[in-house]
Amino acid sequence: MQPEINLSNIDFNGSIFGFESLRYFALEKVEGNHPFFLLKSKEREEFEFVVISPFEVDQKYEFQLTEDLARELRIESPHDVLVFSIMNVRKPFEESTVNMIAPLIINVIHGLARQIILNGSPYQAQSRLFPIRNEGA
Amino acid sequence: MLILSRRRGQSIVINNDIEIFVTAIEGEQVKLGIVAPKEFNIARKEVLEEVRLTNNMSLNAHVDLEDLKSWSLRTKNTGE
Repeated sequence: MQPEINLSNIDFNGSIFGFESLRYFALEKVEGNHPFFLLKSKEREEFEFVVISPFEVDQKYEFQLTEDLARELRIESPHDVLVFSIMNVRKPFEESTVNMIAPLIINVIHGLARQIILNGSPYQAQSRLFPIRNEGA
Repeated sequence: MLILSRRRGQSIVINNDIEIFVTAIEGEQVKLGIVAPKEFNIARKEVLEEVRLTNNMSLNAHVDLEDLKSWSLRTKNTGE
């Protein structure tokens, strides 16, 4: 049986840096064949972020989830977790960036999430989106 | 602001449950070891501020998602 997933009311517990007063968000897939999702505040409906999987940006993206965080988010298996990064969408779109140093860790089973900072990682807060695509263009 | 002098290997304790050690001193750089309960988030200040700033810049981009989607599909093809 597929476990139920909870993306309509995710508890970030005020962990989104700069938006500590916001707690609950909904994650919505933007219709169509592309990697973008919207993270919408439940408390301030006009507040939303465009997010993307960091693995779409860098296939070798990796980090270590601490045991404390896994416990706090009640993560029991890697299948419980989705990871997203907040995009800063710019015009032209080629100049858009993705926050790779502060991913959003979401337990989709329990609807619990945190934005964390990867201390000592090589990733950047404003990493270019689709660098490989730009080379090919 | 409280100013304390410490040598390598010495530490300070904040509120009985946070301990900060001076683990190494190399010229201009000091290495700190921090022991704190898990509910305390610890980050380099400049990284924290950059993440805050970046989150703020990323809010409500009023993005035309249709434009973004079609651009993404277009460039995906040329990139491969």
